[in-house]
Amino acid sequence: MHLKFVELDLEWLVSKKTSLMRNFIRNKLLFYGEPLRWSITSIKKSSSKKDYLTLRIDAVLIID
Amino acid sequence: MIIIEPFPTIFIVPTGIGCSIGGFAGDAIPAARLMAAASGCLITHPNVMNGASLYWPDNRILYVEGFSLDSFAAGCLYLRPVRSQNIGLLLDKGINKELKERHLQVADACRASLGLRIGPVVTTDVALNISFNSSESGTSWGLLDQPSALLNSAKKLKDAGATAIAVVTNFPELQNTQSLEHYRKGDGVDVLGGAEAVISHLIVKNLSLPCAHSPALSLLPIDYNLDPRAAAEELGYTFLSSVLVGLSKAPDIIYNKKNLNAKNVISIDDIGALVLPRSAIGGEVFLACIDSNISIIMVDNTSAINVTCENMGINISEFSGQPNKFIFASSYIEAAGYLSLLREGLSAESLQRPLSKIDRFT
Repeated sequence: MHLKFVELDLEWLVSKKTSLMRNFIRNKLLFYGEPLRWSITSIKKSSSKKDYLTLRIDAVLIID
Repeated sequence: MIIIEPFPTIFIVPTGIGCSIGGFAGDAIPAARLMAAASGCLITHPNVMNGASLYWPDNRILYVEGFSLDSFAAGCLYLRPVRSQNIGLLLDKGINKELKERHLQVADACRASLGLRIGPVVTTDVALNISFNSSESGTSWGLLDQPSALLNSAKKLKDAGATAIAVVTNFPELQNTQSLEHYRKGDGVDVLGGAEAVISHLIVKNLSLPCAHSPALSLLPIDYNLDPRAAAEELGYTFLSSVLVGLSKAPDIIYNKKNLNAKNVISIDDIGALVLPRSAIGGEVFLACIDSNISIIMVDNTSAINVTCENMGINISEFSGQPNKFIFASSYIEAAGYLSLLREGLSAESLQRPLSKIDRFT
């Protein structure tokens, strides 16, 4: 087992319900490892997609 | 005497993001005490309550580590208040002999002078090798090279009867670093905070025991321009006493509440409010609470980040059926007023002017 720190940018459709955001982020993180600690550390309007936000996620993941 | 029922409230000041209140050495304790007085039951995390050598025990405050707090908010676990915990002490092999002895003396002092149940003590087989990290956003994070060694030692403590775990790890020397200089002058991020949270998260996730971390650091030279908010870290040889006091009454973490007395178990459904900085709502607790009946009080408390309701695109009008869903407070004093209002079941509009006429459906 080891730990890994990642910074991820995720595209989020503004009109989606915020209550879906937690699972959305967790599922994206699971692609890289098991989330141990994470949070959104910045939010910007997406530069490539209209009506999307870019969420910056800082996360520490467990890699088995 | 009329006794008003408590209004259980979660109080968060995220670790390692440089909050103006709570980003230093236990400098959110006064805010926590105020929230506890207003709510009658406050659930908060070690970063809020640990003031190095300083602490403030309060039976209305439940000391819950961040990983378990996230899972509690998501409805994955329950909290059970206890009279006391049996605290196992986990020491990193990387701590030098003299500093290790200082920590053991603090444990003995807390046994002798405060009556805490502490022991056994386990030292890891290898040095854990903690490293600091700072993200592009300015928050502090950290890693350790030997997570398995940490967990093996924590498991030994659990098997020996520990019901909570205090971890002390050797931290790289910070003396003469620019980040420490900024922190001591009151304008930086606590560089240790992120790594501390990772260590305690790992233990809670794997062993489901209350846990908190204390860094082992050499004494710093005197600083004549020290910010009062960082002063608690200059008082002694270790930061351990606040951790031991906090853990001594930390609630049990319960995953399955079958066969338990429901009266003694707190679930997320019992929570009335969440209080957190307005600039830092991007954590799991906020996102887990958003679709519940919990009132969310966002307080002006600047930090290194700017993740707000507004830039998250939350449409507050969607929640018009819940008039007290989102509350903005300019200070913790105002937030305490709102907590009192919610606890009393008062309508906020009744205290504001002008007061509009009642809605009439024709």
